[in-house]
Amino acid sequence: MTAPVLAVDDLHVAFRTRRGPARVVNGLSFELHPGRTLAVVGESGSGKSVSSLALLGLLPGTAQVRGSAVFDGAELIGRSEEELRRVRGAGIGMVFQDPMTSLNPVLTVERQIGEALRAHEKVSDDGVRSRAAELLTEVGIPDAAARLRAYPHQLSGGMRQRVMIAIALAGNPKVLIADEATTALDVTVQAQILELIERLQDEHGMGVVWITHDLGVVAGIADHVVVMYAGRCVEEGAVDELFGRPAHPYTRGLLGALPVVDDPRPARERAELVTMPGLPPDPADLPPGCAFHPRCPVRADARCATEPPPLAPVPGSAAEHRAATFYVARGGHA
Amino acid sequence: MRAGETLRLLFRGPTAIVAAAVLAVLVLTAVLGERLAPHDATGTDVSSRLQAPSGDHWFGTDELGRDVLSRVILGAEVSLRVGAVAVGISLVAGVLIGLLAGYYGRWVDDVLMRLSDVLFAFPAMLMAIAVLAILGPGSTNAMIAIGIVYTPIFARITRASVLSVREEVYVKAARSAGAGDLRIIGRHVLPNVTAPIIVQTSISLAFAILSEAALSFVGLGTQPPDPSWGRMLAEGRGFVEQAWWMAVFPGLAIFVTVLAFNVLGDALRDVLDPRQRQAMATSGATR
Amino acid sequence: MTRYALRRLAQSVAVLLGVSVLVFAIMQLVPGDPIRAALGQQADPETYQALRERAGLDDPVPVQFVTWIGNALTGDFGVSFRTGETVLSLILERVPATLSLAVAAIVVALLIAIPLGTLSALNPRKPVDWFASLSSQAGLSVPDFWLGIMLILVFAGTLGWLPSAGYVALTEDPVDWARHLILPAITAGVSSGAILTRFVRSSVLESLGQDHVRTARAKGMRARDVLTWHVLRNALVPLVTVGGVQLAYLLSGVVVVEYVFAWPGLGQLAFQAVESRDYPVLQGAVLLFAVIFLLVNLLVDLAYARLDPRITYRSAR
Repeated sequence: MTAPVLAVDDLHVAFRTRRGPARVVNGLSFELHPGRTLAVVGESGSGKSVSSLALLGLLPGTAQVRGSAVFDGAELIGRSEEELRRVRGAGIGMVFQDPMTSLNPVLTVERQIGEALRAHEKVSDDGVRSRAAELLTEVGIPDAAARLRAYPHQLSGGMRQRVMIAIALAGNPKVLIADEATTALDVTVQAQILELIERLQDEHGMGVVWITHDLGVVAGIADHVVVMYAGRCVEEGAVDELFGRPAHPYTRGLLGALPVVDDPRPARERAELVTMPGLPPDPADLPPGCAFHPRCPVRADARCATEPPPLAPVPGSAAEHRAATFYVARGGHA
Repeated sequence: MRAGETLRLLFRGPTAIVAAAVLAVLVLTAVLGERLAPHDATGTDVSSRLQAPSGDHWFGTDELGRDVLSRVILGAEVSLRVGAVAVGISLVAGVLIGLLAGYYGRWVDDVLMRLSDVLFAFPAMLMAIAVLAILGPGSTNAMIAIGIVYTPIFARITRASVLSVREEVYVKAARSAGAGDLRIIGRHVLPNVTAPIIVQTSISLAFAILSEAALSFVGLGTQPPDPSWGRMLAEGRGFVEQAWWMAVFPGLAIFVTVLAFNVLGDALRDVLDPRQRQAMATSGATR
Repeated sequence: MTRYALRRLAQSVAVLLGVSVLVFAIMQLVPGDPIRAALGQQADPETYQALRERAGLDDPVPVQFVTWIGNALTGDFGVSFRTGETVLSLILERVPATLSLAVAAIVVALLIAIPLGTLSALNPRKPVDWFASLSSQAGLSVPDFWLGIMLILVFAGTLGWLPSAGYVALTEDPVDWARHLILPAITAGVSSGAILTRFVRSSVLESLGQDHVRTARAKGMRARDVLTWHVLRNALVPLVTVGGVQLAYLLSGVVVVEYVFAWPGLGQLAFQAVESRDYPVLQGAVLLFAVIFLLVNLLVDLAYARLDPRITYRSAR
């Protein structure tokens, strides 16, 4: 197996708040290999977006980040702002959720793509224009030359997200992080964007991290899945393994709530089905033991409330299928 | 919010405590007045004119030999009284107008709000000057003039608050239970508009005191020989090269007083009415 | 957009009508005979009679009002009780001085507000922020006439760098014009600077939290470029409009500053009119200020609805 292009190990992120530190990410680890797709799944507030922002040093000053993240052989955590800046865009590109707010409303498309090009190399104005037009064509925007002069509000939602992708591609990154990149879009547009990113991944050989709460998206594209809860990985494994034999009660809850795959409704509505009774815990006041135990329908072990379960291989599954639950350790499926 | 809780939040930081302490000292100074003054504030003594600050005259003496410190002490009473009465006028008139406009709506609202638009179209200082041009100069007329100038602000704030509570369930319930207008206003509407009004009162006091000083400075407010800070500044201005103390100390007194009211008003706003902060900062409507 | 503009215009005209009623009322409300009050008892009876007729004071009040407003619409605000000059020429004479002062003051205000507000937003709850908030409180609280006197004391008196008062026309001597302008402009600009500092701070803070700023950083842009092109640029678009409102305040708000610096502008004209009971001049000046004020507010509202693409953008969400 090839070396991972991105390896995160025991990542912790906490925010200083008036009520004490809010521990949003608590020991997250994963590996991403070139050309592969890793899905990070969880409810909002599970720490999945914060982890990705932490890698690139994009969190506000109140955030404290510990742990390790090795990208392309070099450590990211604790590096200087300038060193991280060189990685942003050029090494790791990012696509965010809401293309409406993620693009600057008062700058043209050309200007915003051009900024991404100029951030990493000297380019002439003409060079920027032709390269930006190429990028727009590549992400499937027709009549690119005309679109360059447009402002974001003159474009449709799907078109705006294509522009975001063009920006992320501008630095020719080895890793693309798509943070809820299809959540704000209609189902048909969503499918187009998924298809586009898969195509670009093949062409560029990028590793892709999909951050999403939508298991429907994951099923279609991911190779490997990490399920997050309260800032921790509660279960991970190859996509077929994890969908076929979910071990953690939380994963099962998510899958149980998974709607029919061909559901024609937009993602936002479907997302509501993915919720289960109760709320994720307050990161400034995490429960002792397993963070999921107050909501857990099983709670079969006395240690659930006192001791966080370690991430351990699921008996009878492939080696890389692991879950953090005492319930599985006692060996049984429902 | 309970009063105790409000006070605790208000005095959480040092700035509000300092501001409140300064104002307490000022009010005390105004009340004690002559009993606190080391010298006769109006007694002239040409032999000791234009003396620099010294152990005997901490703030020096003016061109007629009067003790500047004693006059600044007596000026506190004038400033606070004019400011308080002026804001009292705007408060009563503005709240009344705002309640009528907001509660009755329709043509009452239209007429009263267009009227306040008209008043708002005049820059504050110019409006006060125009009123004094009609009424004639003097501290009583200055109170009236400043009172008129700041009435529309209170009217608008009250109206906005009334509009936001008028459709609340409890007000509708009271109305359908047959409660009279006065009772509804007194019981349900007024308590809900007090927070923004308290904030505005503190800030208006700052600007009313500033306006009084400005009007007295240009000779339209408090008339000699009454020791008003603005008046003293006007006199000191002519001697600024020979006797800087004549202009420095009364001005400092105005500055500190206005600053204290502004700081307190800001702290009150943070506690009572945080949403208003941005709106006020951008409108500049308090000037 | 046009419907909004028309409605806003109609509103302004209505307010202007109300304003003119009040301004007209000044003359009516003066106790006694305004011309007698202006001229004193020993006035020449012919002059008195001529002025009375010119002012139309013998007509019934409604007729007076209609005549007055009709004349005002054609730019005829009557003649000064004092000098017999037309009010319009007296006012026009003063416009350049006031305009210079107000524009210079807004420049001072922006020079204070943009750096201070930005620094304070970039370092929330740090010493710089604390200092900025304190100075903005102080700037709002300092009496401008006192500040003016203190500046004169230091820069004209002790240091002798700048003239203490007076005005030189720009066309006459640009350098001297500027030298005379500095102290009054600082005096008048400080309070607007204080208000604008708060505005810039909150605007930059809001802008910093925008998603597109995160996008810009994720592109790998340098921090300075992100600040210039994505934070400040977006934060300062609304400053144009708020600055416009402040300019309107300044045009009329400099009356006392003009008094301190013997600045021959409109404010001083208004004061002289009050002192000499020259009511037509006072009416003209007050009306003009109110019109400027209404006009600037109208323009600002229209500009705000048109210039900022985010207006439609935000409401679409």
